[in-house]
Amino acid sequence: MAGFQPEVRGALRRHLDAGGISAALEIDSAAALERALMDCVQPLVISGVRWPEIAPFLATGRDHGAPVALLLEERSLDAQHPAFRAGAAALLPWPVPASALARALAAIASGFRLLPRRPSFDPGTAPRPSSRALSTRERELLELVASGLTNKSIARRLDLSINTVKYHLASIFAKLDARTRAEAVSEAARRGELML
Amino acid sequence: MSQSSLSSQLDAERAAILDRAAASVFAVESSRVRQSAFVWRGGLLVTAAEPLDGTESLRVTKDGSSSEGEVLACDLRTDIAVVRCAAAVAPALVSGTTPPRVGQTIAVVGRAAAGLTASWGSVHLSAGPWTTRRGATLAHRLLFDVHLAHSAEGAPVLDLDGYALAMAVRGPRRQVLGIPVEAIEAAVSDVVAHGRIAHGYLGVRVVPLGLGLQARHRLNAGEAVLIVADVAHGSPASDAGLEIGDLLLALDGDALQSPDRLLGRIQGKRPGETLRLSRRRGSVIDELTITLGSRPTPDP
Repeated sequence: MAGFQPEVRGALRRHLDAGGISAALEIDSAAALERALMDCVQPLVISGVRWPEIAPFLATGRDHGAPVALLLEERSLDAQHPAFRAGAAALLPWPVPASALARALAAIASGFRLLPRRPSFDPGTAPRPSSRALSTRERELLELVASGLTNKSIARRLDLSINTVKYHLASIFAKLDARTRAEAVSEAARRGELML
Repeated sequence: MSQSSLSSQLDAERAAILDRAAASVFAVESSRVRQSAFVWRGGLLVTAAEPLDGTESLRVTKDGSSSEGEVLACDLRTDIAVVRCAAAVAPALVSGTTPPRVGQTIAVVGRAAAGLTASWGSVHLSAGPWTTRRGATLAHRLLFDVHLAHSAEGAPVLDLDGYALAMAVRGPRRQVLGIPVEAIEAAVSDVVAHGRIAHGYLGVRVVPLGLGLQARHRLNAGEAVLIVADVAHGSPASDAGLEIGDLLLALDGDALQSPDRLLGRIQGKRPGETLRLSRRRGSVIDELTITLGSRPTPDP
């Protein structure tokens, strides 16, 4: 099991104990994690990390066959989550019941991949989506702004009225704190919200 | 031949150039801007993009008659805007076939509300390819030694044979920049064919990862690298084998440290052009040569 902060490892250790599992190895650094991913065939549970900081490690795990269970404090953990697509064997919401964690680790050790059926066991603990995050529609619209289309042309392509396009754009500009189209596009790129 | 007849002959030749160009040069204005534009193809005008910022319709005027123009595309990277106007039926300007020479005499032929304007000057600099502030790569870097009134921004730059060399726009520190005719032709062709000016597209979402001293040393990288957070299905990135979690270290040999710089470099290229990405996966660094595509958009 891996966690880069001592308190994260402590919480995870207690949790695994409660589920009747003892970790063979406790990993506390990026370098150790990378080594473990290359050598390890036992399931690895990683906590206290955020997507996408963990992305490079998942790539290593995928290439060397170490099944990785990621404990994430996110609301929507589904097959579309980039961590799952990047090869994580399991995405589990943190906190997860100890017994469920134990069963999940047993499952991925036998070669299964798994996701929670419901997005989150306890929505109360999931962070609220940031009000500055773009909605799917806004992101779609911004992609068209990035391709250099005018409002009129965007309206035509999305089959919206020009006023609806302007309404969405005003919301996008406010969320991205942008004054011009060029600013909105480069700020969205900076935040990782735009396909480049 | 006397001195005075030589100079009056020169004046007559200059006047003839302006007379021929006059029909193709229009004034365009909105509530916020007034500048010049010129016919590039039947019904299509070209003008400077930066002053327009989001303006979608313009009054197009010449010799007291005025009509509506629709801004079809506004490309801030190259500073080229393309405007459709049914009244722009005048012959298109013919572009020069050789790159401008330093010191060559030029005229910026604009149109103000009151009528045709002309400023004579010369080519101050004509150099090889360069990358604009906004990341577009242009075939020539052109600077002119000429006065550029606000009303003449977006006007054509002509040589002594009346051929168009560039569009005159304002640069930083009061420089007068030229947007080369090759870039204008490419932009107008895109608009005619696709309804927009085509930008390069790779098909990745990336986030920066700030690196500590040790990590910098280990990755042999700068202050940050970019992590691939998503790869669009069927995009050039996925065809080239980029995957979620790959680290992007450099593009065409320059360190990559922020997603918006990567955006600038990608959009500065055109679909079909290639870029070299240095990618690290696990402990392996390799270099990918990727041919850019164009951003998928729904059909109108």
